[in-house]
Amino acid sequence: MLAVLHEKQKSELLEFIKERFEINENVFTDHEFYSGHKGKVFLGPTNIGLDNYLSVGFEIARLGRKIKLSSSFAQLFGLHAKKNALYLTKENAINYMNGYSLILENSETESCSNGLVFVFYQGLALGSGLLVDTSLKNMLPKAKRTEIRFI
Amino acid sequence: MNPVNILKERYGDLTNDSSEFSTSLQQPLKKSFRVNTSKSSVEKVKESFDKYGIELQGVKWCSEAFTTSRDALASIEHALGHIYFQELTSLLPVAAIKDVLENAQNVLDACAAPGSKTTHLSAEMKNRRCIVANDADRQRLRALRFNLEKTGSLNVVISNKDLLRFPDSSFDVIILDVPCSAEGILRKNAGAMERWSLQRIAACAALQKKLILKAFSLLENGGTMIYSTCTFAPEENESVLSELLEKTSAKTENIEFDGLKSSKGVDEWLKASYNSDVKKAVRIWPHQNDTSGFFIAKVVKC
Repeated sequence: MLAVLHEKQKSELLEFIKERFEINENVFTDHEFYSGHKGKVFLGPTNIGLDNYLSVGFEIARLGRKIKLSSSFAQLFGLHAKKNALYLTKENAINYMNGYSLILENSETESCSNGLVFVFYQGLALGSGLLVDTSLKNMLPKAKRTEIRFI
Repeated sequence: MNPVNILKERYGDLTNDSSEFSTSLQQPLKKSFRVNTSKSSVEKVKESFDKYGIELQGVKWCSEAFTTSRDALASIEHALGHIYFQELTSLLPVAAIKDVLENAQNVLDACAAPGSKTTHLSAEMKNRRCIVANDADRQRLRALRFNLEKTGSLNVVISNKDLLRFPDSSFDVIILDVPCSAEGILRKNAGAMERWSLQRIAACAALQKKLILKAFSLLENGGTMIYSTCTFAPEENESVLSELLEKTSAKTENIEFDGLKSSKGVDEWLKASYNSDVKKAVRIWPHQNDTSGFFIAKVVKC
């Protein structure tokens, strides 16, 4: 059952996004946060009656022990990030889109701290990953993994 | 009987060039896409594809649409939802109401799945305000959800209702792209006419008449509705539109697409006569612009 996200949970989520990625909450002004089952958070239109609808916008996060932001969130809002933005080489970007997890060079990861990162190739936000030292765990869902020949 | 011959025999006289019409039906469609302006821009996409060596041809009547080769499907732009592959004629419903969408607050895409028009609406509305994407077929909603997420369309809510039982609501814009006999998509799908019959056309038309009247009842005064099909049958096109014009306060408006060759709606077919205002509707024959077939009408509620 969908409902507008509780103010306390919304604040926690926005605080996490700001602290981890330096994305200001102004970016979400035209949208509303909604809560679903199992800690799912959706971003969708504002001022809607929820009774008649199956779903709203799409899932952008899951709240739980840790906050997890979806790859769709990363792809749509990633360019606003000023922190924890990981830039890949062309070859690694192709491997990432294919669903592979990556071992990177120190020089590629030193600007990011361990934890959730947004993954980029040049000016393109590809998705998200979990960084542990130089190891990047791919968090692209299977349905979004694909072979890229032109990048 | 061969589907091409069925269509040529039935509609050849309406097309003004039955030979070109039947030839075009046997040719494959070009691949085409729309730049998703919620995530990218025409300039960025053109720059990238130029770098890849993938040729793009612009579409005169839709500045964000291009025809191209299958290679584009393997591009990062496609994977990230920066471009959305759709047939050119499916761009027409939103293209017809771009000016109206600037101020639209509540929009209904009444038969939305898999989401070509919904995602187009979302981009045109700059991912703001609200679009209700409804489809009666729950199975097809999965594809709709996928496409909404891939294109970053946040200003959309999904409902799964039989339109005929849609709750009392008021929308300022409605797109009604109805289920139909799909004669117009033979070029895209060779099996499109496997179930073709005159009985099927009649059954489709009977349902479409109910759908258009119901959709019109959901439109607020002064609101705009687009009625469209991908079929050639006047029974499903002008006849349905005429039913609306005869029974309600609906008025048709002219639609113009720069650089798009088209024909007017027909006010007579076989032994039936229709409201003369159906001539403001637009017919697209496949040979006119090298596309699928399409029918589109714009009405306002007075």
